[in-house]
Amino acid sequence: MAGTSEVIAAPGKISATLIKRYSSGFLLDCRFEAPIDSAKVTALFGPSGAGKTSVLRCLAGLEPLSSGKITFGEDVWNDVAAGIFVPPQKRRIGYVFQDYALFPHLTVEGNVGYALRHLPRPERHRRIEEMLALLKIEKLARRYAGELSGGEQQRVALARALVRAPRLLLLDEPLTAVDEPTRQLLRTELRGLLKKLGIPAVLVTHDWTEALALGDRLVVISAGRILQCGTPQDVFSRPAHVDVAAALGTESVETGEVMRRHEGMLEVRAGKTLLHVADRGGDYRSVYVCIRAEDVTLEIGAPIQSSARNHLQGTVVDITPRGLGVLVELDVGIRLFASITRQALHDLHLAPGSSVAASVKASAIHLIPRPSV
Amino acid sequence: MNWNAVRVSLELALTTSFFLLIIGAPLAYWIAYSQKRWKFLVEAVVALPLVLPPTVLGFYVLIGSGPRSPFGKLYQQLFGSTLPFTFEGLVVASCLYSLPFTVQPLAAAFSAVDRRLMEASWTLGVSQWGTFVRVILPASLPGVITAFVLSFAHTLGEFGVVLMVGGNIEGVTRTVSIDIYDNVQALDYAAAGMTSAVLLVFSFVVLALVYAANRQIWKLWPAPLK
Amino acid sequence: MHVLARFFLFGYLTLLTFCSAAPLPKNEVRVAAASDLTFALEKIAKRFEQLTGNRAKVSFGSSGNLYAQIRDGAPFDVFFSADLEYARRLQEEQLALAGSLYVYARGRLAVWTRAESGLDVESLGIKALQSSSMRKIAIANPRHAPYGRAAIETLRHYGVYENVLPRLIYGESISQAAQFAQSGAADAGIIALSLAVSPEMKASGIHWEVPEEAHTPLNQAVVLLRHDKRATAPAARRFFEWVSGEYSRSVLRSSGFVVDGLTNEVQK
Repeated sequence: MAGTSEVIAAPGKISATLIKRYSSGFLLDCRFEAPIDSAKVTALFGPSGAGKTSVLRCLAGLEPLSSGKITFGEDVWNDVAAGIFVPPQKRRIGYVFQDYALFPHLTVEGNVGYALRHLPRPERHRRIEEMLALLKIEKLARRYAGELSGGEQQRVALARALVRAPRLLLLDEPLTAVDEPTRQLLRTELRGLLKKLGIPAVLVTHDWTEALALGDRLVVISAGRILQCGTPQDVFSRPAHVDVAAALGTESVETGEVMRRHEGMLEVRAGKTLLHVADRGGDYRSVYVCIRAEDVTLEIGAPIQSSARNHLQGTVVDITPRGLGVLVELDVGIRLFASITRQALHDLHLAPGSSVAASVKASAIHLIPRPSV
Repeated sequence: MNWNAVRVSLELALTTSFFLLIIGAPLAYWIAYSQKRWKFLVEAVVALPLVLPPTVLGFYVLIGSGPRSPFGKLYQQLFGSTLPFTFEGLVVASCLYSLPFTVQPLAAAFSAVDRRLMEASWTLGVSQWGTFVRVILPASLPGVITAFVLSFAHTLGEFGVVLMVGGNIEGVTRTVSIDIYDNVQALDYAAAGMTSAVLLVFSFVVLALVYAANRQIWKLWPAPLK
Repeated sequence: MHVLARFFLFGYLTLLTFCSAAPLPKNEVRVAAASDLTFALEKIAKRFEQLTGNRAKVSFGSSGNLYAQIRDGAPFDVFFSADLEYARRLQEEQLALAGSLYVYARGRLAVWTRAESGLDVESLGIKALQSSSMRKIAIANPRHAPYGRAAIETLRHYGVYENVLPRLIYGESISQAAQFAQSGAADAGIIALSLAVSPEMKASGIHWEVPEEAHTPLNQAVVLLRHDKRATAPAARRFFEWVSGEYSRSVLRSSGFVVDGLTNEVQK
C-alpha cells in the first residue's frame, strides 16, 4: 500500500489525564491510556452528553486542557503544568467529524487534496487519486460536497483525513449520519481499512454494536468520567459499574467461534457451550455472542419440547434485584444473565446453587463480528 | 460635466475599498473570533465613524496628519510631503470614514462560517492564516463583496471629510461631491444637476450589478450542505 | 420599525410646527455675514446689543453660499456680502429692500504664514510664495469666493501665478483658507487682512498686506432683506443704520478693512 510507508509507528501509547472545566458547569475529568503501537482501535463508548467528543477534541488540540497532560508516545501534546500546548496543526492527526465538515466550496478532489498544498502538483494528484481509489470514490472526484449522500460524504471525510498519513486517526461517531444498511457495510469496510493502513485510531460512539465491531479496547465514559477500560469482552461481561451495564444494554457477552454453517443456522462455540444461532449473513468466524437478559427463559425439571433452539443446563450463581424483577446470573458453560419476575423466582424456588435450564431462541442471539487479533 | 472629478472619485473609492479590505479583514477576523473581554471596546471604536459627523473626523485628520503633529512629522520625513491636500491624504481619511462599512459586514460573514470547517482545516495541518485564506474567505465571499461595495459606495458619496482635508485641487482632490457643491455655490445649477444625475445613475447601476452578482455567487455552490 | 417610523413622523411634525408658528421676538435681528467679518462683526453686534437691548443673531458663511440660501428662503433680515455683486443681485431679484444697498467697507488681502516658517513675508512680500519651502498655499475657492478671485488677480499682477498655481489648495471659504494656514496644514495663505489681524492669527503668524492696486477692489455691501409675509423688523433697520455709524466704522477700520473714500453711488 503506497502512501502508508510514511506512517511512523510510534512505540507505546497515548496517556491522557484530561481535566477541563466548561462554562456550562460541565466537568470533564478523565484518565486513560490507549495503545498506538499498532493499528489498535480504542472505542470511547458512552451515552450522549457523556463528554466523548470533548475527549476527542482535547486529543486533537481543538480544546486546550484546564489542567492535566496528554502524551503521544514520546511526544508531549499538552502539559498545563509545564505550559506546553501543541496546536492541532502540529499533532499530525486525522479527524473525522460527526457530520464530516467537508468544505462546501471545494470538490471532492479539492477536499481530499486540501492538506497536500505543499506537494508538487503531480505528486499531489497521485496521492489524491490513490486515496480516492482506496475509498472507491473515484467517480465523485468532480462533485461538490453538497451533492453527496451521507455515506459518500463519510468516505470523502475519511479520505481527506487519511491522505497525509496521520499518526493517529480520531473518529467522532463516524457512522451515525448514514442509514442503517449503509452503516453495516461501512463498518466492515472501515475496520478493514484501519487494519490495512496500520493507523491507530480513537473512535467515539454511543452505539454498543459499533463499539464492539470496531474497538480493540473499550473506554466507557459517562458524565465526564471514565467508568471502565478494558477489552470489549471484559467490559461487557464484567461491567465494573451499574452505569456501564445500563449503558451497554446487553447483559451477556462472550467471545465465540463460528463452527458450522448449515441451512440458515450457525453453530457457534462459546466457552464449553455450543449455540445455535440464526444466520443473518456475513462471512466471519470470530464473533461476540450477545444475549439480552429479557430473551432468556428459565425452566426446572426435565427439558420440555419448545421452539427455542438452545436449552442450556447449569446452575444459579447469583440473584440480584433489578427494577420490578430480578437478574439471575447463571453458569451454563458461559456466563448468562436472565431477567425474570419476582413471581417466577418464587414459583421456581431459585437460589444460588439451584440447577436450572435456560432456553434462548436462535433469533435472540446477536452475533457481532469480532476483530481478530 | 467635470470628468476629472469623476475619475478622482472613482479612483478614491476603489483605492479606499481595496485598502480597507486589506486592513479590515484581519480586524474583522479578530472581532469575529476573539474571546477577549474588552472586545466590545474595539467594536465601539470601529463603529465610531457611523455616528461621528464627518467634520469631526476631518478635523482630527487635518490636525493629526498636519506637519505639526508627531505623525505628520514622521510622514514628512518618510515621504517628503504631508498628508492633507493630497490624494493619499484623502485615502487615509476615507479609510477611517468607511471603516465600519467594511469591518461590520466582514465580521458578520466570518462569524457565520461553520466553526468545524476551520477546525477541520487545522487538523489537516493548515495554519490559521492558511485557513483564513482557503476556508473562511471563500465561505464568506458574499460578505466580502458586500463589504467592498458598501465601502466603495460610501466613499463615493463622501463629502464632509473631503471638504475638510482635500483642499479642492482639480484632478487630485476635487471629487464629484465637491464639484457639485462648487457648482451650486457658483450658482451653476445646470452643471451641478448634470453631475448629480450621472453620480446617481452610476451608483444605482453598480449596486444593482453587485446585488445581481451576489445572487450568482450562491449558485456557484450547487446545493447547501445537509 | 412601525413604532420608530411614527416616532420620527411625530418629531418631524412637531419641529415643523415650532419652526413655522413660533412668533419672532420683535427685538431680534438675524444677520447673515461673509466670513471675513467673523471678528469685526462680533464686536459690532455686541455693542449694538448693549446699547439698544435688541438681540443680534449672526451666521457666518461664504457669500455665495449665503446668497443661495437667501434665495431659497433662509430667514435672515440683514445680509453682509463680501462681494457687492451678490447684494446687487438680491436687489434686482426684489429680495432686498430697494435703496437699502450700502457699501460698508473694502476688503484687503494679506499673505500670512506661521511665525516658525522662517520666511520673512513682511519684507519679502509676494516673493515669499516662490520659496521652495512653500509647498501648499491656501486661498479661497476663486469660483465663488471674492477673496479667492482677488488672490488669483494678485498672483497674476506680480507675475508669479504660473509658479504658484501647482501649489494652491482651495478653501471652501476665506476662513477655511485661513484655517488651513493657521493649523499648519498649508504653509501659507492668501487671506483676508481682517482675518490676519484677528487675535489668534496675529499671535501665531506674520503677514504682508497686499497693496490694493494688485486686484479689483473688494467692495463689500450690506442689504436689508425683504419678507413676503411681514414687515421688516424695527431691530433690523436699527442694526442696518448702526453699521454705518462711527463706532462700527472704527471697528472695521481697525479690523483691516478700508472704510474711507468708499463710492456709494450705486445706491441711488
